[in-house]
This record gives sequence, structure tokens and C-alpha cells, in this order.
Amino acid sequence: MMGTNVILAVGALVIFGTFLSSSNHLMTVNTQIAEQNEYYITAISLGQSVIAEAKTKFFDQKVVGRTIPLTVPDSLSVVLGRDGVLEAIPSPDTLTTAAPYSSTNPGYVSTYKFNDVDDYNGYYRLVNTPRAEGYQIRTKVQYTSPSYPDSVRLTPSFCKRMSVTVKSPFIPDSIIIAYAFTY
Amino acid sequence: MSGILDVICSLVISGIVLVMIVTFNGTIAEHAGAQTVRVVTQTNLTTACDMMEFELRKMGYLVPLGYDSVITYADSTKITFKGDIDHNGSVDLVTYAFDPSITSNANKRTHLLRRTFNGSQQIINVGIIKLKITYYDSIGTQITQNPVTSTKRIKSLRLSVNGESTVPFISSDEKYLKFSPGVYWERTIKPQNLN
Repeated sequence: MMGTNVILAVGALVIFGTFLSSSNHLMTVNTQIAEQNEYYITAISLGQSVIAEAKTKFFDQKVVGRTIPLTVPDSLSVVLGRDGVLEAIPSPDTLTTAAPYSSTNPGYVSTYKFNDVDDYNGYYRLVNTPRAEGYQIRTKVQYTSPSYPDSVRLTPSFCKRMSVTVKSPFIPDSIIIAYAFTY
Repeated sequence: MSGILDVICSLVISGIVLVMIVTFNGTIAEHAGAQTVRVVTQTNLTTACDMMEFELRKMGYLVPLGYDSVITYADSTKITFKGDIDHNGSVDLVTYAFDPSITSNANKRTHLLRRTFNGSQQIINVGIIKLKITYYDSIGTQITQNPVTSTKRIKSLRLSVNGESTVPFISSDEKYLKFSPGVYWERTIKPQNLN
């Protein structure tokens, strides 16, 4: 009789232990999600920052210094990417203190070397924030249809889509942010 | 004899269960606290940053042509600019300034952000540790001068905010962490109305 009681009690203990264990796991996962949220917020802001940086540039190398706007897209760059050695930058592009920057005012090379949106095609930036290191930002620029920016066009058009992918060692997946630049 | 053994076994098992419950309760309380601190910090900081971004984007809005510059003062922690922020037809003067002085917050690393809107000052206490504003000219070249003397050159800016909870908090199971819950936020802003 005593044996049965003890077995029942031990069984109840096991069930209770399993419940506690799963509850603990749930809390750990919750905490993990809340902690990851911090890195998601930063990753999104870093991705949007690159897009906003590209917004300060010309639409295309062929319109740099142009006073009369183009009316047809045929004369825009066919190959998207950096134009010549003057726009060559280190990969990854990290915060630098080299001229024109200084130790008190570091910056990215892309901000002064790139002059048009598609220079960011194939661009790779590595960002270390004060709270977490190793945000990898990669960008891709493609021509797209102005009326359907999700499409891809192999010929020049007045719309370029920039897709920014941000990865961090602290988040399980990567974030993709896209923006359509129009001329 | 078997009755005594039964009682002893029951006491031992109930003791174990009690310890488990107490530990579980403590864990729940701590995790709930941590969760609250994290969510409040993240929400506060992103809201403050969104608000700053909204107003910075509107700088120059409805400012008549002929003004020397929409931005009247700009350094790495303070910016003063004009714009019809509340869209009431009159040009407003807005200042955002990071105040590095020590606050009464429990987390002594955190500081205040001061927002002045047409002379009336508001204190934003959301746990900002560091705020940095970087300025760029029309072709995206960083203006390294601090403060910027020729504010007319500024065409875009990058806002970097590093924040933590105003109450220091590190969970007992995360002793390896160096910082309290917080968030780093960065945004490049290109106001459409900078003349």
C-alpha cells in the first residue's frame, strides 16, 4: 500500500516538474524574444539609415551635373554599381577616422565617395554599435517598373529598387527593407 | 512503521514541491520585472526617437524663402531649427539638446533630452546615454566642423541615440551582461524643405 502511495506521489512530482520545466522554457523564450527585439529595432534603424543616406545622392551617374532632366530612361546607366576607381571603397565599409574624418568625428567612406543611388549595388557595411557588434548590412540595387516596384527590369527605367539586408549575430533571421527611388 | 515512513516520504516530497514552487514564483517575478523594464525602455526610446525624427523631417516646412538658414544652431548634441511643425501657419522654433549633467535617475549613466518649442521647454527623460547628431552637405559629405558655422550647408543629418533603462537592471541569470536593457537607434534624415 505504501509503495503505491509513494509511486503516485513521485508520479505527481514528475508531472509537476514537467509543468515547471515547460513554464521555465516558455519564460526563457519570452526573454529571448524581448532581448532580440532590441537588436531588431537597431537593425531596422541601421537599414533605414543606409536607404536615407542613398536618398541624398543623385538618381544615376548619368544625371550628375545635368541641368536638363532626362525624358527617356535609355541614357541611364545600364550596369548598376560603382563608377570607376574614384568610387572604390573598402569592403566591408566600417566607421573610419581617416581623412576627411577624425577620431572625434568618424564616418563611413560611402557617404562621401558615392554620388548616385546605384553605387550602393553590392555595398557591404559592417556596423558596431555601442551595445552590439557585427551588424552586416548588404545592399542590392535593381531597375524596376515605376508602376510595379516589386518587379525587376534588366533595362534602364526611371525607378530603382534598393533592397537592404541586415544580419546580426544576435537575431536568428535577417531583415530585408526595400525602397523604390524614382527619377 | 509503514505509517511513519509514509509521513516522512510525504514531508520530503511536499518540501521538494514547496521549494520548486517558491523558486518558480521567484523566477516568474524576476522575468516579469525584466520584461517590463525591457519593453518600457524600448518603447520609450523608440517613441522619443520617432518624435524627434518626425519634427526633424519637418524642418523648413512653410519657412518663407529668404531666411538665412532653417537651422539656426547645429552641433553634435544640439540642434535648433525652424519649421511649421504643428501646421498652424506660423513658423516654430524647435531645439533638441542633450543635457550631459547627472540626473536623479537610478541609472546614473542616463541623461535628459531637452526639447524647446517656441521657448517652452520640455524634459524628455527616457534613459538616453548618448545622443550624437552628424551633419552632411548636399552631396552627402560629412561636415566635421563642430559646431557647424555655416548651417546653410546642412542638407541631411544622422541621429544616433543610445539608451538604457532609467533604472539599472541586470537579471540574476544574466550577470555577464554589461548594460541594463536598452536600445541603439540610428537614422539618417533628409528633410525635404532645407533651403
